[in-house]
Amino acid sequence: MIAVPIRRFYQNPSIRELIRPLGQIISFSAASSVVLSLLILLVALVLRGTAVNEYALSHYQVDILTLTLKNLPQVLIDGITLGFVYAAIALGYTMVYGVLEFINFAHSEIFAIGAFVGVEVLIAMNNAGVFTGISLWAAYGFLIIAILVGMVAAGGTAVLMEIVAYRPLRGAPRLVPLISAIGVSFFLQDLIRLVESLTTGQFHRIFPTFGNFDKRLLISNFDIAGTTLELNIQFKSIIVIIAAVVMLMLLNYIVNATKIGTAIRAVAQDRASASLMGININLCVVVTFLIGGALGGAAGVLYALKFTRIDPFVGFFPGLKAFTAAVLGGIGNLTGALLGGLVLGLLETFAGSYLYIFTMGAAGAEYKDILAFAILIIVLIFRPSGLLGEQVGQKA
Amino acid sequence: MAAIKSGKASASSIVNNFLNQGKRPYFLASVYLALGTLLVYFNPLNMASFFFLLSSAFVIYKLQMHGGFKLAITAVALLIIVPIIGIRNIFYLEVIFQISVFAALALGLNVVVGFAGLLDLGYVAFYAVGAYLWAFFGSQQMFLLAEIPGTAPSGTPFFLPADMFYLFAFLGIVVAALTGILLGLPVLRLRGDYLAVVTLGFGEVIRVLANNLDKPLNITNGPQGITPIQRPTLPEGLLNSLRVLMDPLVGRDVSQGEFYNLFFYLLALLVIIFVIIVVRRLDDSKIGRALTAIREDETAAVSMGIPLTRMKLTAFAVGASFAGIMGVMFAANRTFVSPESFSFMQSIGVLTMVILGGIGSIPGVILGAAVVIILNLQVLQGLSLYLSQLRQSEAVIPIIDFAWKNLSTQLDPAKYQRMLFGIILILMMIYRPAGLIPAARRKRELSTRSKDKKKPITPSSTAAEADHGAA
Amino acid sequence: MALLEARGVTKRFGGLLAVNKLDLTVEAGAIVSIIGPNGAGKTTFFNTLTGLYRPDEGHIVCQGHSLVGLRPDQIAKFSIARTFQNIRLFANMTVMENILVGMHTRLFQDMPNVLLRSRKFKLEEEQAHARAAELMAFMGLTGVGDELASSLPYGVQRRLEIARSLAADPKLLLLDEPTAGMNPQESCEAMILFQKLRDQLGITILLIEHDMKVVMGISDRITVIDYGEKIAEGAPHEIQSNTRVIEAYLGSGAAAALTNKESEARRPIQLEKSPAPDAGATLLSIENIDSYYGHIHALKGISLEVKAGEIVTLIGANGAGKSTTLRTISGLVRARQGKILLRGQNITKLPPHDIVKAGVGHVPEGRGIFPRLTVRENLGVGAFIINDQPLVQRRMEYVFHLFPLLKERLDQKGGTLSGGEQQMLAIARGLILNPKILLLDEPSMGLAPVLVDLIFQIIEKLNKEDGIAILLVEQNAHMALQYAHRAYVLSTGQIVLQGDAREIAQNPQVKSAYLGG
Repeated sequence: MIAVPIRRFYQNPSIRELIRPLGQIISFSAASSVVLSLLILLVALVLRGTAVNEYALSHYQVDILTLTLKNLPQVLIDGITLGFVYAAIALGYTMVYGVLEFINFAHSEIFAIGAFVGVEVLIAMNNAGVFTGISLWAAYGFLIIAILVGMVAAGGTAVLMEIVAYRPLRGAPRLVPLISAIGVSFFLQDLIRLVESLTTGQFHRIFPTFGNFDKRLLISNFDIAGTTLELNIQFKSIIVIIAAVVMLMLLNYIVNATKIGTAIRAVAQDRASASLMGININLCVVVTFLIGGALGGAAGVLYALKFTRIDPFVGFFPGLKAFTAAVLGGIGNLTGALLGGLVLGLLETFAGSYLYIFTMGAAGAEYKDILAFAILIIVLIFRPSGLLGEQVGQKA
Repeated sequence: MAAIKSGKASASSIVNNFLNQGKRPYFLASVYLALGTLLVYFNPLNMASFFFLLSSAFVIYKLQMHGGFKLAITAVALLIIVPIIGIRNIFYLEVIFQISVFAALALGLNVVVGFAGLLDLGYVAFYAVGAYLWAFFGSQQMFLLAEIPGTAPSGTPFFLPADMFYLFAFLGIVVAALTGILLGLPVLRLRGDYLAVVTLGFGEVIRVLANNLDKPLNITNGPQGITPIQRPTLPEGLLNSLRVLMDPLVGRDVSQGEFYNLFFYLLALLVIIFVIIVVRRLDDSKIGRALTAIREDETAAVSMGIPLTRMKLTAFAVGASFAGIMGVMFAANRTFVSPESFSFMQSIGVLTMVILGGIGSIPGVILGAAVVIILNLQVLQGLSLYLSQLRQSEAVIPIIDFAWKNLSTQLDPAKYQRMLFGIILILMMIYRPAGLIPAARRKRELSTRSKDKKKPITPSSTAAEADHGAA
Repeated sequence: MALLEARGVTKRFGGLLAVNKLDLTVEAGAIVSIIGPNGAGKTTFFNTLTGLYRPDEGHIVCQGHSLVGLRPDQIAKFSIARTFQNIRLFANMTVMENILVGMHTRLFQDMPNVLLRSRKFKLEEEQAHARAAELMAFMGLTGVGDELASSLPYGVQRRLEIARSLAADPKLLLLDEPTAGMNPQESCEAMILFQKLRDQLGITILLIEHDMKVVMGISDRITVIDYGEKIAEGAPHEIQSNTRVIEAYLGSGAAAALTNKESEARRPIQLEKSPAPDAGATLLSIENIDSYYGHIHALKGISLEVKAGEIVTLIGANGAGKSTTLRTISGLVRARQGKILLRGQNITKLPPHDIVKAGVGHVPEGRGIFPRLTVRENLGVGAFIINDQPLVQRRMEYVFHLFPLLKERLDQKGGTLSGGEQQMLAIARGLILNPKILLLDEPSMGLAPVLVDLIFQIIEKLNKEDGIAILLVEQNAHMALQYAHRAYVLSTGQIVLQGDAREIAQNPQVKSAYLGG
């Protein structure tokens, strides 16, 4: 009986487009966590009879299965946090790819610019003494301001880059704008360096300490194999997850429930047709870069919050991994970017924490970057359209 | 507008005609080269005169002269003039050596990107393969496999004699080509932009491996890199006779280190000549045409019977092999390799040379390598030097009233290669995608037109043979 | 023995059955043609034969060898060469090099020979160059050998593509619309060439062709396909009189007209049609437009006009420049020269989205609907520039009144609609802004005859009841001329004939060009 008003409520497109992504986020996080956990437990089970078990017993005083199980909850939390960062960056790649069929190689630097601007704003505030003795609310308020400023800067740079370096090349062979994008990427890396060295005299910036971001929230205590396991999560991880979820929902709303969003999707599907509907293609492309850039910028600030230290090349690896995530999910597909980001974030965290044990110390977390590329290559070879992408027939 | 344009065109053609009349170009080229040589000889530290000398290569290339004379004058310049002035100022030799190394790399990448149209962003990985090949076998590393990096016991012997270098130069070609095929097999089916990202990933994988393969077995010695690496021996007798020849020309005693520089320069020259010959012969053959056809239109190419994967693998292997041999040489020349030398930036640097000079164009790519290296080693470094001088002075920027000495010491233009590469790539793509010297297609019709023109068309005899082949 | 035999070849793209259980036998030494309306699956069939697509079912056998599952380059080694519908030359290679690439399967140099420049290599290269020169002479390309392929005029590019395919000494040559874009004289020359290829060189030819004169003139056998299925097969005269063929290929109206030779038209209403309302002011006028399509000079000084309340049709062979004219009007292709005026306003230099705002609706060739948007969203995008929601609602009601079917499909994705529904959606979307003039590009393409009739009735209704001027590009010339007031006939980018639609319909030149009579 109650179902009817709920259904009607859900049928309102605006509300549906806000709620649907939330459902996707929850189900994707849960599904990928469960699947990957089962896989890793299976591996641990297989390794129980091997020398790895002895290694675990001698170094950690527990058998391999218990060890795996013990680390699992924390690994999942960290993996999902990282996954959301990747997802937020991946959305920028995937949006631009969807509309222009072009890999915006410089998106990683857009991310870096967002990080730098956000951190610089906070450092300036810190130096001005704003943070001394502020309330928790104010701390969060300032953080939101920093994220917003980072978004504006990153979005603005993305738009500028589109107008200067990509628009003149529209319609050129595929590799031409890609090479230009590589140029933009390199140029921006050094531009950040230049600006930083002229103004602050150093390249590395540290996210200032304020608020309760570094504190941990205790979720619960487990008893596993006689030891009590504390499961907790850093406040900054919670912030990253919440911010990413809010952005994903907003993006989904913009793309699926607003007029400009529909126009962008139309441009992505058939540019000529869209212009025959009176849609200004260039405007749509600019809006695409703006949204993608702003998301990347926000991800940059969140990344800085989570990992504290940034340098001008901070965007390179997250960018590459986010691109991998976008391809993994199915490039051009927004939902795919989310799924790809989560899966990749989890896989990387798994590799970071289990590879060392499973290989008995021979190979450790340093190989987690290789893992991302291995996934990229495997996906591209066996399923180039990604997990959620549609197979597109080639045309002769 | 049109009038101005045609006026310009005729002006340049007037200049061309004027310069190329009769014996004039021969005289001009000789004088230009001689003048450049004298300038550098007597002002070894003056950069302008060095540029003047370098530009004579361009003059020789541009003027219309008999091929034999061009070859002779180039040989004189490369084999006599460069060694002499190079030893007088060893920095010039280093610049020219680097130009040669990177020109060979760029020519290799050009086979992949320019001929076959495959964007390879991890090209430097093959260079690394060559370099680490000799670094491992040409050093003591074989005996240090069980050691922790940085704890090499003193007195460890070298694994191989130094002159095995020559064998490994050859092995560098083979191993790098095999690596290229190994990488290419799974990924060459991918569409262009995906291929670019995957090759980038491969480049990073190689770098990460170089960084981390110091355990469980210490193969690469990790981030510290491998050193010392052996150089091939220079026989004492040869050195002594060379000294007799060189000392008076240079005006002082030439050290063994300087002879090594000369040696590697000549070796690089040899390799680059070899590379140019290979690339030219490839370009003007069934293989080169097939690669270009693939670049132009894969569907049409495969319908003409061109096996896409095999041809792309060929391009990858050829490109990789050049990088392989240059890698071996690099390791011996520096006596030290570390993962840092094989970063993504190096790959993009080589790509920048190809794009700047002219994608697919052999002289263009060499010019691209020269320009980028000079910008890198001389212009950016020069700027750095100038800035640090300014910092030490009391000078002030007038209007904004900024004292140079307050300028951050972090601002070092020599470290801004990325910005340089970036700007070059963007500008070239927008304004001159074909490069400084665009690739010209071979003119062939006139040479064959005279023969068999009137002969009626008949199914050629090869048709029958081919059918057997196909069956 | 048959040179090539295809049995039950089927190719699907997702849900679309592009080629359905097609059988085809090509005897050695024959010229066999495949005809059928646009979108019937002819090129897909070619691509399946040459290995670009892998058939989902069926066998393809060439001289006793199965070709199914082989790569295109392996199939090429069976002495099968082809050309492409939209010319695929190696644009930045010279004419000579293009031909040399065509010889790929006939050259046997390997890497050592290439690098060492052995005697064998030099000899083979010399022979290859000589042979290329021969072919160039044969195809009338002598003198342009060192030109880049992209710099050649359209007709020469077509010849080069044939020369390149001949370079492989093929036994079987597949030609995909080789005369598209040629004027009648060039087509005639091409026809003679094809015969020469067969008679002098013994090459078997499989031809996809739209020009009926060529098809009827040189084919030994003709296979007609429609919707991916074979609907008829036989000698030219059998095909010419086959009603099903005429209906499928030229439209049901044409079938009626051709079978009762003298009937003026099928429906009396056409006879009553008043000639173009002379009172109508000039709505759209095009003056001396020149456009390029890539390197091809597609429009050479086109001038035409459409008055208020008129239906004007542009007809002409494939590649004549019909679609390019429409695309130039709506700004998708830039006119290099000339002027386009809409009610006196110069719209030549406006971007497409501003031209739409000025009142030009354009329903593009191939419909151009957004496959992953719902019908509602498609219409919403069509109304993008209107900010007044109630007005959008009213316009939606109006198009639903025209196309009631669309209302039932509102939340279905565009890509899941049938061809006819997609066309309706495309027209509806073009109408939602209430344009002053509607440009319709091949609205009947790929539609069943009954749907074609329906679409044309709607066009007429739009024009009569709502007074919308229409500029119609149509391959189904018979149908178009029946409904239009005036017509222009295009050939190789120029207007060769214009006037009253019925007069044009009677013009023997047009008849022969279209109906192969």
